[in-house]
Amino acid sequence: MNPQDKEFVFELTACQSRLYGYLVTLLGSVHDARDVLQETNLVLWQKIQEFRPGTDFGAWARRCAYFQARAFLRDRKRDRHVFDEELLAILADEEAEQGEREASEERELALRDCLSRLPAKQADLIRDRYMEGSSITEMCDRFGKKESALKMTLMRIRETLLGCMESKLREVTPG
Amino acid sequence: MKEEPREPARCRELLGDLFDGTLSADGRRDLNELLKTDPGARRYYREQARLHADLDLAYAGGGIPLGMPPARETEGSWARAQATGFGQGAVWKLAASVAVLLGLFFAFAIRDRDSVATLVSSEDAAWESELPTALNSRLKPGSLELKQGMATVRFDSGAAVTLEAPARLEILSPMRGRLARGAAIVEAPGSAAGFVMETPSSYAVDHGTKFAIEVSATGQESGFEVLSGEISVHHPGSKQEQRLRKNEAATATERGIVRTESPFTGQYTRATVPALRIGTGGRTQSIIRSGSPTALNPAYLLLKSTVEPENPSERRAFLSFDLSSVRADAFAAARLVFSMVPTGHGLAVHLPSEIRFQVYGIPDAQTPEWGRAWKWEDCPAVSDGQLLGTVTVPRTQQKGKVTIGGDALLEFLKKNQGGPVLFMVVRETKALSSGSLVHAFATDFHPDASGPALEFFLSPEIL
Repeated sequence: MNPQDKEFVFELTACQSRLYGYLVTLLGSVHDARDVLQETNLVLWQKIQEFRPGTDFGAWARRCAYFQARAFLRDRKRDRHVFDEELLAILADEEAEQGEREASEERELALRDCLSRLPAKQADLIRDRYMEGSSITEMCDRFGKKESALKMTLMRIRETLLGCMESKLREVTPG
Repeated sequence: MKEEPREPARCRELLGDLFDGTLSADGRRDLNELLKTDPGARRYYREQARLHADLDLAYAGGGIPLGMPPARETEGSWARAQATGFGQGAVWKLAASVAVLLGLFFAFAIRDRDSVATLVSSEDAAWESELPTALNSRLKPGSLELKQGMATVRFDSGAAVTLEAPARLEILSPMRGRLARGAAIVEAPGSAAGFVMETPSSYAVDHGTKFAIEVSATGQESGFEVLSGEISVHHPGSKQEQRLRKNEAATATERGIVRTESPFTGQYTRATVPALRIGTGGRTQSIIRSGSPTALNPAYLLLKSTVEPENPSERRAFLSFDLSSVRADAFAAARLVFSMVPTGHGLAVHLPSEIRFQVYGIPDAQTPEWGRAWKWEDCPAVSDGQLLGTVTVPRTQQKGKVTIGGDALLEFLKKNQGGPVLFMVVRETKALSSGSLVHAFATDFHPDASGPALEFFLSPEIL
């Protein structure tokens, strides 16, 4: 493998979690984001010749991911996706304005730390929802909660996590 | 100042529905409208969406969450890549290596025809297995050895087998498994009625039920107890057959099947107490290829390896036990016990989903002085050692007891009894990119966790 190819592989691997976050934001669905991420990776490999080491790989990959997301919405029936193309464009513009967010490593560390601070019951709920992929109905049965109460609790936990991560990330990058 | 949603309650409700998979068609329309017209709602949505992605990666990144449709087959993607004219020479080779890396990153489930089961849950699990042991791995016929913790394998027929360590399960087909030793609970829904669980001496046919099964370490005895429903236990040797209903139990031996009154007791899987346990007495040492002493800490046995050869941040560790007063040949089994501890260095996301550690025995080793900084080039290399055992843990595991044992270890100890024995620990699994997690086992100097121990047993059942 020549050094340029090596850098391409490194960049492509390193940007996966950021690219995934970007696609989840554009599409509103982790399932759709995974599909489009696979397509995007394929297209990036095809365009390897266009890659110039030292250029902003992340920005290039995001542009490519945006076009793939748009194509994905066009290919799918209207009722099968969450957001329409107009909203996708607005969200992509705002993501571009925002530029590259914090390094994914920092986010992951902050998230881990914040998850470890959750009370045990809340941590159980989040684990069940994300690790086991349990549906709300299954979780209602398991935890003996009503759907509305469970959803409210999950949203509160997410807000707690967001608040916690924000302060953690501020510690890392002051100002 | 952050821009807030104009209708915070409605915004939260819709986003809750979106992220928890309960958004209706009307809700979807409302959410599109709300996000298009309200920048505050979009700001809130973007933060929540990113967190949703982070949580999904943190928990399910090693595989496909349950209930998700199978990912497109990799072969399909390749076929398309080829159809679009991409796939020649060096580029193709590169693409293949990228596929390997990305495949490891996301471990998309490939529902190939050969797989017959899925590893659907694991708690504090450590494995010794040729089959993949990451959560949600698709499993082909083969065997899984659970060294620690609990894990559930769901056969494609719907039968779920929950193993409790130490246990060995052989996966034979969607409708058939074999418990070679240890304990398990088998739960078979209607779709899996007729599911067969073999043991060394007998087999049970499930008639839509839940039952407990336990096999002794020697494989000579198997216990069955029905928790609900009905099973039939068959003994091919004597052609005996017993039907068991709820709360009924039976034991199968080489001779035949005996109905037992006593409930399932876990008699074969009770933790065995070691007959002798010795520590390192502080003789532990990590080394780093760069030689930087600040990258080491006496409280940890530090382990790191990368795909890049001779990476300066590579770390491995040594430990020694004094066997001068130990007759290793008096024992039937031995194992090394380590406590995994987090180091706070690096990230697990840069690693494949399963991490394998290896322990090498170094015969006749001359080591530099314990407690002083050791130079990489002065230390024994992997090629100087003899592989004694491996253990696999999920990449997210950074705590808990890890044990490595087996015949190779006991043989090594017998051969080297009467003096000090030296072991080297390496992380066989290599990081995919820089910034990867540094793993560690506690040494005697760790403030909380116990240092490494060598345990000897009079009975072989512990392994």
